[in-house]
Amino acid sequence: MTDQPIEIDVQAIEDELKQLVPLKLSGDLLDRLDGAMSASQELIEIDDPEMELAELMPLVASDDLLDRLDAAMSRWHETVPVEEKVISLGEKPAEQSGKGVFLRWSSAAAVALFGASAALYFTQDGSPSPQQQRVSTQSSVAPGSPIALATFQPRNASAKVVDYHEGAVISNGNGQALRCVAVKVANEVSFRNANGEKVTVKKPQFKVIFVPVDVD
Amino acid sequence: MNLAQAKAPQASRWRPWLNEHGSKLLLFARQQTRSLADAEDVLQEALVKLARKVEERTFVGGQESWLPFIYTQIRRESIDLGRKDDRRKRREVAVVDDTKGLGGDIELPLFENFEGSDETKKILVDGLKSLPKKFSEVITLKLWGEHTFAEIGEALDISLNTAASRYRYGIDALRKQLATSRVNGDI
Repeated sequence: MTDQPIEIDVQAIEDELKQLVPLKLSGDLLDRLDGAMSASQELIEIDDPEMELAELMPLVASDDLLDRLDAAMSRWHETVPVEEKVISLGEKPAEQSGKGVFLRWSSAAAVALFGASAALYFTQDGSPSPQQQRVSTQSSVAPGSPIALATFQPRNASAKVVDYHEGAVISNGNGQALRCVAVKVANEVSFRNANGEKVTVKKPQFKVIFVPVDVD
Repeated sequence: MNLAQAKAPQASRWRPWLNEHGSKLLLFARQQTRSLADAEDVLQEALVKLARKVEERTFVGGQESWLPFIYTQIRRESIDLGRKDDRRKRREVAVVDDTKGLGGDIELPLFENFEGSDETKKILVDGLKSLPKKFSEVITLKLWGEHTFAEIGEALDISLNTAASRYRYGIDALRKQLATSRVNGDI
């Protein structure tokens, strides 16, 4: 028996196969797949965080809060910005000469003296003048209360060392050397009301203070 | 005029603007701070600075520039407050553990009628709270501040592209959280 070559016509095979029809899906399977695909579409639609979030409305600010914010904005001039509360004594290191160090100390002393004198001025003899009464009333106004614009408010304050004399260096007993310094300071506080009227209070002061010094 | 009317502070020229924008500004401030009280303080500080600049005529730009200024200011004030708070806590930690003190936030909703919202929204809002702030603040400004990415970039001191990509990252993260919740059967 001789082997005869089998001639396979590829095209014919393809044609034969093409005539085969895949088994139809059962009704149950079709329903299941259809349901899964629809659910998948729903998932895509629901999983849109932007749409979901955009439907939310921020909690409405209460009238009380809006009243307070409104009042604060209207009284902006009564709030001293933080950066203006800081009194700079010179950011760069002072020269190490005796004069430079002393001037720095004298500035600090002037500020301290001014604070003390201001406290003295506003509290002396327990019977404040009408001017003082207005100022103290102003400072105790509750946040929500209307403000009387006719009251005087402090606008500027300055303390200037106009004269000083260095004295001897002494020790405080703990090894700390102190220089005796006599300082003459010109304190000045100006007030202004809503009508533009200005009142200036001058309070010169002379005081002897002891400033710590480094001794080699 | 009754007593309540007599005592009520008179509305200023800022009031209509505050009525319009107050809620979304407070939402942003709450997102930036640790408690409602802090948020209100920070918002007030920012508003007073705006009023000062406008009244002193040193504000650059018109009223349309107020919102970007306020958002920037709220963010700066919040950072400052956070630093101060951190320093204060470090000082006090040896004395008392105040994490549950009066400064702790009361869990108030951020949104109107939120309690009745469906589970999907609750998961999204929880997800928004847990997102890093750099993502959630952009989403807040975009969705409820109705800002463009350019405006958001200006308010947050970042570029337009950074704002847009942070928004996309944030939204994608929320989408993943939703998908995880769905797989877990939470929704």
